[in-house]
Amino acid sequence: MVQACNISKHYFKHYNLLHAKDGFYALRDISFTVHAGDHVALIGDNGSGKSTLLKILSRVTRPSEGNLRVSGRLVSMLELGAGFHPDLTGEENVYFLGGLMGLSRTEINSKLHEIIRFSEMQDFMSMKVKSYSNGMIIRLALGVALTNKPKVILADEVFSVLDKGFKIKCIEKIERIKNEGVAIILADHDFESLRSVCNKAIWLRKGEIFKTGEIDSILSEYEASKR
Amino acid sequence: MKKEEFLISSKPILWEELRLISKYRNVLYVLSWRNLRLQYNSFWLGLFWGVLNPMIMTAIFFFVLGNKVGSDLENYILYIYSGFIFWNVLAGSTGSSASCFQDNFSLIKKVYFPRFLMPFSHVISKLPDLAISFMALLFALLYFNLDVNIYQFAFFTLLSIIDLVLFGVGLCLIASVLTVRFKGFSVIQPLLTQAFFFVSPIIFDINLTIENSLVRALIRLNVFTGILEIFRFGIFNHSISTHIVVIYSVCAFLICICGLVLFNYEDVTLSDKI
Repeated sequence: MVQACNISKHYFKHYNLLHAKDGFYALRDISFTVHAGDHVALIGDNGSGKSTLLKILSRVTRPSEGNLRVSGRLVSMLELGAGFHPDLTGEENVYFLGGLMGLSRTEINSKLHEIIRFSEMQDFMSMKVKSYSNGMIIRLALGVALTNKPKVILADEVFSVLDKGFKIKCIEKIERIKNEGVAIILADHDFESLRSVCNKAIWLRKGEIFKTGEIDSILSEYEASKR
Repeated sequence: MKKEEFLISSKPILWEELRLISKYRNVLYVLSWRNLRLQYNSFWLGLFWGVLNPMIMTAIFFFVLGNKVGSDLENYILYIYSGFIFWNVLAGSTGSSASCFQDNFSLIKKVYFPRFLMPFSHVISKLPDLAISFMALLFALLYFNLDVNIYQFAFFTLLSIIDLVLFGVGLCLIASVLTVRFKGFSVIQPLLTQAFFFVSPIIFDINLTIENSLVRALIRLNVFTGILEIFRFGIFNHSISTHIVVIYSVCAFLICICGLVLFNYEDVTLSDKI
């Protein structure tokens, strides 16, 4: 479950040596609750605060005001493959990223096979990540994240970078995880995938919640406003 | 499955952050492991360097200063070596943790873990080097046939290593905060390290070598001086008073707390500033 209470995020345009000045609000007074079983799509124009909100939810940065309560193991995919180090092999990176997500070595050992099979990386695990292609990095990162038994999933523009076949595979995997009662928050511009995964939507505009509701009505309203 | 719940507010509370260590000890482990893995391509080569580095430095300083400074000190070669194995932990960890957030910015901006674990991990990943070079010291002690009280040696070694870790963590946290806040700090950081080397009694003895009492008092202010004295007390049985042991241990602890408080203050906007 994710419960956000009056979250605001304030950024400074300049960081001086000792002082920061000229601020603006990237998010203003955001409050919502996402229960287990809610699959929420975050939509809005570029710069409307989707990514900032996800950053705050995944604890990468702190809100300037307000507070946030999250219960259950949280897996965030703000950028796939962000934690990978180019000089380590695929397998070492899986252990590293899994460790960062709170898994012990034995837990990863038991899941390694599933991760490799899901990401179709059987032949490349002992290769250094710097020689991987973009697609391989993305698949491996998704494999680590989705086999982690999460209770809360956050993802920022994940579907837009996947090819069709793997996208279907991911959505199937998410459907399977859904049955265990997870909360999902996705920010994306790929409405087709959002429709198939989510059941609710939050429309952000200029850092504020503009509208919330069922996915279909919000998406069609958003699309209508763009015509 | 265990219940995981957390509350995030705009200001981090130091006590709450410190409690995360037990929950995120896995993260500390993988970060330290990765530091080691990236530093040395192979495990055995790493061991080799860990012991060779202080030995070479010891040899150099022994040949340069052995006749002058070392004439007053018994077992001068062991004296320098014992200083260098501690110095390498301190210099290595502060050097690599100063720029750790810039070096890993994609990780910091996209993946969450308690941030102070990163400078912390740089201290932890220097400890295997210390262990190896310490083994070499043990062999040297046997070879030179020093009259060492084994209980005293064990106690003061352990205490000084704990002090060293606390002091190192404090310094690393402060260095990383300064580098995030002042970009120019990475330029003067090597200079500061070098200055710090010469105000610590690594290659000289305070009482025997330094004649100016003002300089002596300044060097006494350095916490690392005390840590080295505690460590060497176990080896050489030089005279040391209990209040020196207590005062410097408390100082090392306070520096660690200072680092944590400063870091906690900076943590609010850390990932926005990188």
